[in-house]
Amino acid sequence: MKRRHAVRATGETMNRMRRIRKLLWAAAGVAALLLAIALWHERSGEIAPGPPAGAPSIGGPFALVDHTGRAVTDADFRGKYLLVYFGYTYCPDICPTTLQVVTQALDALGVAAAKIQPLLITVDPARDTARVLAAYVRHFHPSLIGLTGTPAQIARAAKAYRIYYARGGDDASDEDYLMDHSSILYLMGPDGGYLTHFTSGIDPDTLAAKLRGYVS
Amino acid sequence: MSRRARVSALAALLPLALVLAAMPAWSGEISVTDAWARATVGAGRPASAYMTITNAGAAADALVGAETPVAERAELHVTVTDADIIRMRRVDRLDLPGGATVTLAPGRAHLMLIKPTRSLVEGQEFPLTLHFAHAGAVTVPVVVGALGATAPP
Repeated sequence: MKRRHAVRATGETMNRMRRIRKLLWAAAGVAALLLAIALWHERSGEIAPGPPAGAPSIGGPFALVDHTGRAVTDADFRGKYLLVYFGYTYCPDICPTTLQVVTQALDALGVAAAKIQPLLITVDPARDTARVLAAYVRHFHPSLIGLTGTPAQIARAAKAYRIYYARGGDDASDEDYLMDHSSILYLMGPDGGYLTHFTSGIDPDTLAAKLRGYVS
Repeated sequence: MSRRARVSALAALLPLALVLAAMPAWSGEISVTDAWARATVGAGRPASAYMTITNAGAAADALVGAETPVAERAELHVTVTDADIIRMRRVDRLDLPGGATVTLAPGRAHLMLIKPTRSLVEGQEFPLTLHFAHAGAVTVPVVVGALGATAPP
């Protein structure tokens, strides 16, 4: 009697153990899957610049105001390559640097530069009015156009280009706050479609060479 | 030594002691070169100043403050890049290890000059006083370069 009980008990225990082991493996599998999803999301989430490979949804319609006060849309620039940068004029460091790189690269391109329209779209429409932009863009390549608009218009344009921007965390007044923002140069084709992007740390010679590859 | 001699000796030392006390903190180990700033557009916009600082001594020092007559205040900012998002963060000190050379350059770190009293025009010069933890105050001339300049003019 006792022995049979013992055998049955062992059999049940074994089955239970097998079931537990299966459950543990399933749980591990789910955990691994969740981890993989979290990591992937981390890499290609909202903050990541540019589209994930194979998903070119950068760019799109925008309605803004240029630095002469004229209303413009993306359609006004069809036929030209667009070199788009989102920045702001209070930016003391990275924006002037990037715009200077663009200026020098376009200078190096010579005649081919006429095919490219550089744009500075402000992420700080509150302070960067058309007049402020006009005084600013003058310091860079003569073809540089500054664009501003209402906060809603700017938000739409930034969203189309997947640009992150926000007031800086430092405790600053309404007059001298800084902005955190994505710093990327986008190259759009004459048809308005996304071609490629460059990080803002690029040097003028490299940028000129890459642009030449596209426009010539 | 007679009492009179002793008093005379002390009297002779006194002016020397006063002179030593009045001297500004000696900056012998710290040297600042190529101090330059970018031109600004309009009087209100912050300017950025850059420079190379060398600590020739063995002991560590640090840049802990700065001021200039051309702006309300100066703050140290470092540029932090995180997945192509640029942030500027204010820091309270710039460490200068013994023997090290640190360069404030565009895209890396700069002294932000807040509320300049006037716009900075290319070609101008203005004084900037840097405060070091050990070396004390050092005043340097800053040359203004173009708004888009990436190197000392």
